[in-house]
Amino acid sequence: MTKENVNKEKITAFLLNYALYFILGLMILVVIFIKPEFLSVSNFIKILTQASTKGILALGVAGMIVLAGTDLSAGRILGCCAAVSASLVQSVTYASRMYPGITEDLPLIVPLLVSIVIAVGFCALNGFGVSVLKLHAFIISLGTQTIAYGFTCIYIESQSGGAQALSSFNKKFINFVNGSFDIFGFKLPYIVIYFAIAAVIMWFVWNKTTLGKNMFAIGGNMEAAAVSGVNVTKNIMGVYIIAGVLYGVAAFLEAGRIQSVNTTTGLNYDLDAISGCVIGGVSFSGGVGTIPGVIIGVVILQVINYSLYFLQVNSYYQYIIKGLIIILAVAIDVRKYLAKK
Amino acid sequence: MEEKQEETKQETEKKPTFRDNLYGKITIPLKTLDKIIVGIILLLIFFIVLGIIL
Repeated sequence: MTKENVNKEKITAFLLNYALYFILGLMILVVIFIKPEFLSVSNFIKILTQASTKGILALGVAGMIVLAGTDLSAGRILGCCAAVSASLVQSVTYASRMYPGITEDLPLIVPLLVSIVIAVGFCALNGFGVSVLKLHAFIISLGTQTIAYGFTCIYIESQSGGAQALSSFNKKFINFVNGSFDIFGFKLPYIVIYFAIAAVIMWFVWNKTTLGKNMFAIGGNMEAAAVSGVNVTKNIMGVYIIAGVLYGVAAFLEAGRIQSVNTTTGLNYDLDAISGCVIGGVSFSGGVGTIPGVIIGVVILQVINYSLYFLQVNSYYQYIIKGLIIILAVAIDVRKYLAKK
Repeated sequence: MEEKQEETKQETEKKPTFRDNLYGKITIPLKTLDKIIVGIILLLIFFIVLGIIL
């Protein structure tokens, strides 16, 4: 093989391995070319705000993907917890509130904790199925997804006024979620700060704790990890419970961000969280992934969403495009594996 | 006791990883996969353009 051929193959491999990033980069350039106003700080803050709750969700899902699993129930769990949180933060002056017995605003820690407890319950069920019953994460989370959706529908329909969206939240809650800092003339929303804090904590858990190291060991090779003395069941449960805490927080914040929770809240959020992880380099084959990768993946995905919106792409086509992006990301992962072999 | 541990270690080392289990059965040549990836890229571009036009 000549030197020229070797170089050509290397360039082809490079282009294919990073094809996804090139396409996304190209897409953003096209958007900037068509609508230069896309490139503004306020737009970027808007994208970050929209990516925040899905980002926190993705930080939880990423752990499961590193364990060589997945979580299809994340979106519906978020919807269920958001509904419960929303019902507890409705304004006491709102006549059609779900709990007329609440005559004073509850401290925000109460709905937050309730949301976390519910999410942890669902995630513990997933974790139990995966670690003890040895079910595939796909199957158990599919079941949990349906259960969570059922609970959400029952809960929302149990209002005295029927199945109406939960809205009219108290000012304290709205300000907690949608308030902002003034930095150099720009308003940085609190929700972005919460996302950043969650990311830093998860970076610490993944990189500086035994649980994080064990998680990568289990995801890479479960048998080898077990032989090395890692308590597989305990560690898998740990990862799922942490994911539950993140889902609970994300649900609480999402309720405040969208300010109206109904049965469709959280629909397809799991798809976005998984896509963000895959784009960010978290491998479906387990044992590979980084927190900065997840953050970048989620932000990129939100930029895609925003770009497609800016380009006025038909919303049905957006589903096809997102699906193709996931298939492309997995195909590239397979390519890297085959090339290594 | 040590010998046994050594044997178990060697057995584990020989065992395929999850990545092997997931992708190990894919036997298509790299060049064919490259063509598939190019196909997906073209399909993606096609749908983006179609989505903008329609």
